Amino acid sequence: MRFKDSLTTALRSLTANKLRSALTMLGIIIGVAAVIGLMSIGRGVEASITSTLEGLGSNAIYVIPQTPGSTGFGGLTGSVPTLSVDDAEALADPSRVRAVVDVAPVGSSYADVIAGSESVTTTITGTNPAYMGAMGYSMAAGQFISERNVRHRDLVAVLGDKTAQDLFGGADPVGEKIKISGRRFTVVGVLEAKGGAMMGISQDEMVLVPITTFHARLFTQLTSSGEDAVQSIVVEVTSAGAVNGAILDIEDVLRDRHHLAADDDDDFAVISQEQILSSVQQITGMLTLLLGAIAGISLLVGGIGIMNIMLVSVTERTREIGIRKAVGAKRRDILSQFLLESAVISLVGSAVGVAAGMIMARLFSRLSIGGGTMTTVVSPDIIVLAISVAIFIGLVSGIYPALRAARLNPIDALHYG
Amino acid sequence: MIELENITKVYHMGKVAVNALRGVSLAIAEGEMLAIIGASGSGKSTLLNIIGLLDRPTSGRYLFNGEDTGRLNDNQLAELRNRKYGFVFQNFNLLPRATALANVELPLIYSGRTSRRRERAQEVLAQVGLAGRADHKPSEMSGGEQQRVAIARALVNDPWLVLADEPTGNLDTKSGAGIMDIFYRLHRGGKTIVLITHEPDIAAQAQRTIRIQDGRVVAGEV
Repeated sequence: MRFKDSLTTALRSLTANKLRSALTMLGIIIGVAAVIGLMSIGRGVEASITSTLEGLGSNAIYVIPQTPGSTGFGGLTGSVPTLSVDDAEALADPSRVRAVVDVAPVGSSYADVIAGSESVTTTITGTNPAYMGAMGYSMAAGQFISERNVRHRDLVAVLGDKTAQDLFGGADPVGEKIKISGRRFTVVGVLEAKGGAMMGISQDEMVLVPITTFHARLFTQLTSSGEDAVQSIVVEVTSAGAVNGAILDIEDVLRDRHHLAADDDDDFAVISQEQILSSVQQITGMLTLLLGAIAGISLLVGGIGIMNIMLVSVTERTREIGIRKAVGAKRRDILSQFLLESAVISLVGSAVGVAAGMIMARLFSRLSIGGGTMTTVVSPDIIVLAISVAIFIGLVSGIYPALRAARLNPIDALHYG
Repeated sequence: MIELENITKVYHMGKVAVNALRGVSLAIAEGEMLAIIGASGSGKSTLLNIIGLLDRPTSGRYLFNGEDTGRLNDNQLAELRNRKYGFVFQNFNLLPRATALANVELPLIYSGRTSRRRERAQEVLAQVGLAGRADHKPSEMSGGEQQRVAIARALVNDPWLVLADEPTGNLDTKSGAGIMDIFYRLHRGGKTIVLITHEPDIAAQAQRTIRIQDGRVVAGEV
């Protein structure tokens, strides 16, 4: 029997039972669409976080407080302030920290910001001129906080792109007044939009003020040794290659300043952009895998659906198989007919599933969650993976019923039912 | 030439062994029309199935043109059934969702024939008087017409032997007579025919009749 005839035979019996074929296909369609749709979300999250982090610059090092003795994220949250502005100044000394270019102390808190009749609650970040370069921002209008602003504790503010939009709409905010915690500040500049969000916090929603102003006029917080506390310190070094050496120096300087004995644990953590990137990628990779696994289950269920229908179909068509064998069908003819039927179901099902999955991914990317839009990435490897898993499952679940059909004795099959 | 030598068939129904055939020897010569008669349960259908290579005997030898069919594997038997044998069943056994033409074409598909399949199927349908019914499905045809389709399917590969298991058993007298006319015509044309029947006048018109009782040939020359 020629392949074309086998295919025609398989297609005829599929179209003879349109509803049943369509329902069987639906299992595969939903499975493939779910794999593509869900994995595109995982990939999208991964891509957006990666691009955000890469925007920070690979030669930036972050120092954050850490509860001594604890490791991992648990030690980083809710920890007591251990870092100070003075620590930041000490790290800026090139004779103590190799390859250091600049150091930005970062104090941050939340406050209501009012401009005219508009009001937002947002992050207030106290920092110095080094921040802009270290974090990879550029100015859209006006200028950044200057050394002079820091020295004089000036009541000046630089707005993130989103915050400027929220407070002033399309109007130019530079020179306008805003109120932060009841104090009047003059807007001196607006940052260029950066896009992307990190852990749901937009990088364009913030108000920057001089670190000295932050401590003196807004949020007074001291370390245990009585210095002005900061939430983090950003150290910019000359190149990505200098990062590891600089990290060792930073640790030495801070342990020294914090009077830690040799066997005391660090009360701070030093993290490079590369470390953040790899640990975040590890998490998002697991997220993608998890989503894929959930979707994979539905694909498996779809495959079991095919096997179920094919088994029912073999039983139901036992007499037909008997007739075909009586007029000369060989084992492989019957085998290929039933295998082709499940192959066509899984092929057509996965093709439709790919289309549905891509539409799903497109719809997801239009959803906005918590102000930020979701990014979805449909990459060819996901499609190839979904299709090959679908076809594999389709064939595997088709083989057993097909073998059962092929092994039927013609006379038993003819007398069935 | 078909030669059966001491053919037996034992069915196992659970723990009970049923001796359907207890040693049948039989020769079928080219061009003859053989009628097999016998009560139900006598083993005549089992014999026909074995002659038609649908079932294998438990013991004994079956020679087709001198070749021992016991040595052939399932695929070789399928090929032999396809090219040399044509079956007509009491209950027609047509594919219900396929048209008359597609049913007749079926053996041609399995013989790997690629050219002029439709024309050949049409030609045979015309021979059994169904030229105008090619596009009808079995459910749209009378019993007599369905059996004609089955005969056309049996003839489409121009087999050496046509086997019929009570071909008129499900038909009224008039349609049955029409079907038998086709078999007589085929016989006159030189086709070898083996048929099972209950009806004495059909048996009487056959060239040779054998009676099966309790799995043995009890009357008729061997």
